[in-house]
Amino acid sequence: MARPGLEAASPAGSRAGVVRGLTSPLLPLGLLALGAVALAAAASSAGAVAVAAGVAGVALSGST
Amino acid sequence: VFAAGLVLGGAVTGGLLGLAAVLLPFSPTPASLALAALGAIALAAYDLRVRAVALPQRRSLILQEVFLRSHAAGFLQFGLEFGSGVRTYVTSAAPYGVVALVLLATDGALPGLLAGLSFGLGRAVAPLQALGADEARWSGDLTAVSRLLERSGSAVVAVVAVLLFLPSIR
Repeated sequence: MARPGLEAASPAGSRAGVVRGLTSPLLPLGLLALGAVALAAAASSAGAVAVAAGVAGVALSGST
Repeated sequence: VFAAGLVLGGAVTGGLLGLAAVLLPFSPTPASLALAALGAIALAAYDLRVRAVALPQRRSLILQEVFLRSHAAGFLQFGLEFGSGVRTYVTSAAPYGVVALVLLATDGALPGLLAGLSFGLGRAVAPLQALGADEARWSGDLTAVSRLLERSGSAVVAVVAVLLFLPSIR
């Protein structure tokens, strides 16, 4: 039996697919990653490190 | 309450890291930035290679008794210990890379404090998503992407470390 998260990716479940996008921490991780990389490219060390810490937080947000 | 605890916990650890950065007898130099970048790359490579991260940490779960005293106080304590890293499992190398960046690539106490606050907010993402999601679907989504999430975090920290190092050698 497929797991619920995998079922949501099925073609028949377009609404479920949207829900999956909102429940997966990959979306906020991606946004934060873009921000951190942009700040680092602009040589803003304090800003880039702070946002990178947010990325690290999201990376651990699913674990206890 | 749990998210507030996470942010507070992150601020405590981040503040201490910032203090350590102040006490270090040097400001960021090309050499320290290079060291931070090399460290972050090595950590990301390690994270990508292994099935489960086993870096130095205090592997400990929160005691169930804290929720018996008071639900709110229990969740606040859970958040504090979770966000500060005092009682948690660290399953990604990303936070170790961030520690290297705070100590070797930033100056003053503020960057450490901001990093701690940001870490706590980031760590609150998945639990906050759970509030508005079907529990089974949220749990399944998280299980499906957890290792990718952990590895992506390490890779992003490594990219940031390299981008901060590069201007110092131009």
